[in-house]
Amino acid sequence: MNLIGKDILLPLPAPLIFLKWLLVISFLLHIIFVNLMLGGALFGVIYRVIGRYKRDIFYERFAREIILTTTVTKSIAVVLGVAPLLSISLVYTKFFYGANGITAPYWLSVPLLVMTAFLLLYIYKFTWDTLGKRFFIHLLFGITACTILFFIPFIFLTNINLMLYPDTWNNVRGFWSALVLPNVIPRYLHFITASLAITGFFSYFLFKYRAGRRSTSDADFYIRSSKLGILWALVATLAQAIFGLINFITLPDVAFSWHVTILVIVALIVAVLVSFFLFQEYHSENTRFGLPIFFLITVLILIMGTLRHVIRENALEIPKQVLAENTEYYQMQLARFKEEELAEVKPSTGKELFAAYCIVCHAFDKRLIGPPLSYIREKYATDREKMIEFIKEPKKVNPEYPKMPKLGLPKEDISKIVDYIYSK
Amino acid sequence: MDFPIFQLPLLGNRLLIAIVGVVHVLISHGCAIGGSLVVVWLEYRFIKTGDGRWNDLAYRILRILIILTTTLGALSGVGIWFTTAVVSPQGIGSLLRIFFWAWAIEWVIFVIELLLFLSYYLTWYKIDPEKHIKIGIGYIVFSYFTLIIIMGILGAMLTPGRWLTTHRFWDGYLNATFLPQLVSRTAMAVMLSCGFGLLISAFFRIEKDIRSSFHRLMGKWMIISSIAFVLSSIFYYKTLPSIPEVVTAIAFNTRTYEKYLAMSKFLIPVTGIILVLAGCILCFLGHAIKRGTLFLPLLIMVIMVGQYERVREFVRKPYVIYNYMYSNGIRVADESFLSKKGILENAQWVKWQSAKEPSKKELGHMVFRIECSVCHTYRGVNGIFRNVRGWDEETILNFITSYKYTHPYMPPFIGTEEERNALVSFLDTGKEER
Repeated sequence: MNLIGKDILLPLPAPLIFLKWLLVISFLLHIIFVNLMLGGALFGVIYRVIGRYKRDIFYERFAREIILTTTVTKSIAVVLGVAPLLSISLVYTKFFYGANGITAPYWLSVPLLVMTAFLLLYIYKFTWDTLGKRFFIHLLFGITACTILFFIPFIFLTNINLMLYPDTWNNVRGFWSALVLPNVIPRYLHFITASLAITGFFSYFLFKYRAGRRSTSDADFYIRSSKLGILWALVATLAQAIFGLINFITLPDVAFSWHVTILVIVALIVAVLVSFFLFQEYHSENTRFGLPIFFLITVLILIMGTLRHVIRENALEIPKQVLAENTEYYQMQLARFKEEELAEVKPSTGKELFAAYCIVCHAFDKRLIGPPLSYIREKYATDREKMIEFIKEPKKVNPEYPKMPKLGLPKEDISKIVDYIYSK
Repeated sequence: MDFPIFQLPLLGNRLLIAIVGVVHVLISHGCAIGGSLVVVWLEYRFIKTGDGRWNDLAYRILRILIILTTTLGALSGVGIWFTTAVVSPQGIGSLLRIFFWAWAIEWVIFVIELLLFLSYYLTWYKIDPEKHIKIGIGYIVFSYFTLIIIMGILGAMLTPGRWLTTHRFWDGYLNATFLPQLVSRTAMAVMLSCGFGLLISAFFRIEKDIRSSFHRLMGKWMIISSIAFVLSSIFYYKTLPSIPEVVTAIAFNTRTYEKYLAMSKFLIPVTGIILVLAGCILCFLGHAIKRGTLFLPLLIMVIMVGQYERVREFVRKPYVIYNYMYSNGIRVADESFLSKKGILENAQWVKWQSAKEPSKKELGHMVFRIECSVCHTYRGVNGIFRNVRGWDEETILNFITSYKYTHPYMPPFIGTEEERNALVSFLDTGKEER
């Protein structure tokens, strides 16, 4: 069975290439903030725990400073998400909405889950001091928020993966069976490590910046935080390389092309370079490699965005052809039908008109919504014109019945109906 | 037909969209557009009087507003995209192709609005108040811009006017309901901000003189905005051309609808009067008000706004895009073709979701899911089996044959003779089952 069907029969509002660029770029911006939100929430919980058990005030403060950034990052993540959501809906309408429909209850729960997680994060943040004595209750808010936030990417990735392989739609039965399709779990792990890496980079840059602006006593905290950021960035980037490779190996054949291989190799080289600079930076006394690191991760992010797009285009190459054929076939059939329809004459005898316009409310000798025909015939027994006049411009006469609606028919048709009523 | 069909049990798809939509309207109008006015006004009062307590109150309200807008407000907005993609993919897919650029501009303004909002919040107490309030004013301006832009789209869906023939952007954008809706929604935003402001302040410990002064302020705003809202709503309803026909059709159907509509005609003015009275109480007895009663104005406003949006949704029927696409996602241009060829001919998704060898009743069920399930549930809200209770097979058949004349707000039945009979059989057998 061909579940692809036909496309939406309206032209795209902008050139396809523009929409594709918009999708790739706006998605990268969105996902960076999503990464920061996820990583920030996770660090904010983990380091609060570490701070308590190591009895080190540094970790507690690090947790607090990083959780404060989520107020900004999570709001920006949501707003920036609208642009890629709309552009993917335009470029891949059929495949995206199709996948959304298959996982519908889970897909619909996304906004609700995000909202709940955000509220919990606000509680976690605002009760940091007031609930400070009840450590575990306070922590519970943070943990629940993180659990929800780390579950949501499963829904997105399942959808976005399902969308690429419409040939699996016949056998998929809802969210969970789509979740276990190859490539979803590797992509998830890849995404999570990306979040840790990006949050590591962010902590490194943010705290390095703050260290430069504070007095020396305070600067110590920020320098140490910045180092912690580098460490995370380094570890997660190396993990990224491993998960990236698993991701590449489990990629379905249809999505594969030599471009993908080349891009993966380039990405690996850049990742190694980044790691090298991060390692140097970690061990150096004063910071020296900020600029090359920033440049290289920007390149890395752009490569990944391009890679995803190439994979998307590869996987959907044939489904898009099927879609175009289906759409063309439908339009051809429709055009042919319209021609035939024009050639046909519309038969409109009194009987047919009566069946079309009157029969629901009027029976011959039974009271339905309106009065029976026997009564009407008696009422207008001598005045045919008056009956035509009434049907043309109905008025509310009898309080027992609701007002008859105006049918908007030409006089000839009304006249035929009236003839039919008299003849019955 | 071309997309999987989703049905929300009991509540129905239409109510799902309505709930998400109304929540979004309440928060975006009340907390973002109107709320920004309240907060900046309080900060202005602080600058003028030098009384720091006004500054504190403004900041505390803003903190709650930021929580409400970035969770409930933002996610209900995104929620509209998520729900419509599942409930009405055909409709939202088409609308997106028509109004993409307006939404694109709206999005850019949204991003700016959020950045201003965040910096307004984060720089509080940190920079000079005179400078700080300027960020707040920028925030007001941009949040109002978002309203102006979305009004053009909502209006064009309702009263496309000349756009239908010219297809020129400005003909669609500056349509008949653009201005009336903009005015009434501006009043609504101010009104709702009073409701939210009062409710939020109820949770705070505030010194007596500041509280009664704040009540007086909100009372004044409430009186003016409620009157403006009622008047502009009446004006707005007058610009809706199709309302009389719709009313006739409902009245014609059953008397209960008639009563309901008559009631709703009074609902907005009556609630408006109640709010004006509440505003007077706030003004003159502001010091004596119990904190526990401060949720009441917002409650009344929610009823009012719900009704306002409901009428808008109703007037649009039976179309999702006027004269182009019916609420169930079927194009007007495809109507006769599908009736000839059969609605189930290309309905891959309902077949995917149903049994292999469907009975006649099951075929009728498929037709129901394609054509009716956007608005009707089985036995829940607007339940189809409750609607046909007590009808015999012939009455059902007659109804389906000609309801397009008697119930013009419903999309017409589309399908072959056989499919019509299958639908009748589905409705007739289902109505007795529990």
